Amino acid sequence: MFIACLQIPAVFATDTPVIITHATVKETSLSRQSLLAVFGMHTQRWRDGQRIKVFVLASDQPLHRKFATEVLGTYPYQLDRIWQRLVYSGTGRAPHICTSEDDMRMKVRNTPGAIGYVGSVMEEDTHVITVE
Amino acid sequence: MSLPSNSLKLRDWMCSAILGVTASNPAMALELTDDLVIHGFVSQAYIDTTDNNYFGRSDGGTFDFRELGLNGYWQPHKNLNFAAQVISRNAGRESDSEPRFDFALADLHYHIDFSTRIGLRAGRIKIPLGLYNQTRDAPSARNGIFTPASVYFEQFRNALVATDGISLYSDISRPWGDLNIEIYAGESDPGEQEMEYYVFKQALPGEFDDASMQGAQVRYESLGSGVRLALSYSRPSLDYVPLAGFDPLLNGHVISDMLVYSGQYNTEFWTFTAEYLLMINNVKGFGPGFEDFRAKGESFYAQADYRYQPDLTFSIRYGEQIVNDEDRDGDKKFNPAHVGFGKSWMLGVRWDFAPNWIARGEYHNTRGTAWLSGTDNPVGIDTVRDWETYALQLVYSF
Repeated sequence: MFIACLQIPAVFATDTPVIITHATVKETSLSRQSLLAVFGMHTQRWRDGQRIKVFVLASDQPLHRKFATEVLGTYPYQLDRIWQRLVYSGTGRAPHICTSEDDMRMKVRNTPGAIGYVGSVMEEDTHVITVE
Repeated sequence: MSLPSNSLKLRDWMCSAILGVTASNPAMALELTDDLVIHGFVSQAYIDTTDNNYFGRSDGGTFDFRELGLNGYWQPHKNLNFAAQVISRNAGRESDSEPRFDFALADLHYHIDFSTRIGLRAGRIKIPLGLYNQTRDAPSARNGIFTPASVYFEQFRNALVATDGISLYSDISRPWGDLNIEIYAGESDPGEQEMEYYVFKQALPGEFDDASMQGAQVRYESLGSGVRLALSYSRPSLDYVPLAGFDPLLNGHVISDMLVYSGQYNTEFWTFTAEYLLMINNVKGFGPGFEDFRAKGESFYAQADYRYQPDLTFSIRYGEQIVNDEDRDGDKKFNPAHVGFGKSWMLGVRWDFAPNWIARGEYHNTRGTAWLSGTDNPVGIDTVRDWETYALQLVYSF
């Protein structure tokens, strides 16, 4: 038991972040290119026409950095630059920012069309997107 | 489209609104509903120049340069959104802090497939010129306290920051990267006297009327934005309206062709940026008192940013502007000669010391006065060729 408790954080630390969506999202896998278009706020609708709602953690959060570098293959400063450009030129909007991983999990589960990411999959994460 | 009534009250209200958000919600945008989001910023700079006035009465030190902005994005329908931003900018005599709409537009768009979008924006739209023109007045989105002055010089700013018209665009995302194409046309307000100083080196009796603007930009980003390339073209065309009865000048025109090549390379720790502007000015029809002329100007800058830590970035930049390529030293066509060129080194540091906060410090060592504002430095012979700028800036944005 003691050993198991010690091991869990180690698994959390090495896992690649997992992309989760709301139950209404039909996609089960996306390419890195599509994920960049979604998190870069260019693609605004799922293939069935439903609006995409993007959730992220603040740029200085370790999980956000891990997601940006390991899943998207970019850097937090690049995502910030893309979102700032959209917001301050009137050509788009920035994602919703969550206060914690739990907050992210709750918001994605309760918002139709939502996409976000978590550090590792839990039982309640029923809709997960794999990277093609 | 300035905001005439009670504009100072509006500025105070903007200030309170931004401070209110700071107090209540320190880390993020204000999401009034799922589809209505408010962002804003406030900046305050301290600028001290050894000589000449830059962004205010800086010779001797000034707090003149400050910016306030508040913007909203509303998406009432899946194919339609509205966006507007009000800015109050204080930066010398040309920008007197009166709030004005920076953009106010409707955006109608359509997804052809999952990664291809086409759209039309109408209203006051930001002009895509180079990598930074659209966000040159948003302090957290530019690459320094000032956008690189050699390419983003202030003399044309009022005509170039935004135009009242339409733009057609497409965003294409593919395995080889993102391609964005935009074409636009509209009318801009050329501003008060800065254009007159730029072309004639003095204030004129009459004034420049609306500027008509046309242009296009093609922008490419590799997947993950390691490489960014842009080619931008813009054609401002300004008409002079003489003062009835007293003006020695006729109703002439100033037409400029501007071409900007931009490139950027990004790694985890480094960003290298270079932009080159070719500008051809045609000045004609001002009558016997002022001969027609055509001048080719060239500008560029190169900048390297090193992210020592995610929240601490050091920058070095060199920029150069030649107003007329037939007179690179300025001694044939310009008086004083140093108004014909500008060459500047910049060393800067940016510290994102808390969420939403940025502190910047910069040192500029400049030879030449090409990008000095004529309205803040009205007597050309009083300006000094070699001058230095020390600047500090504090930015809050949400």
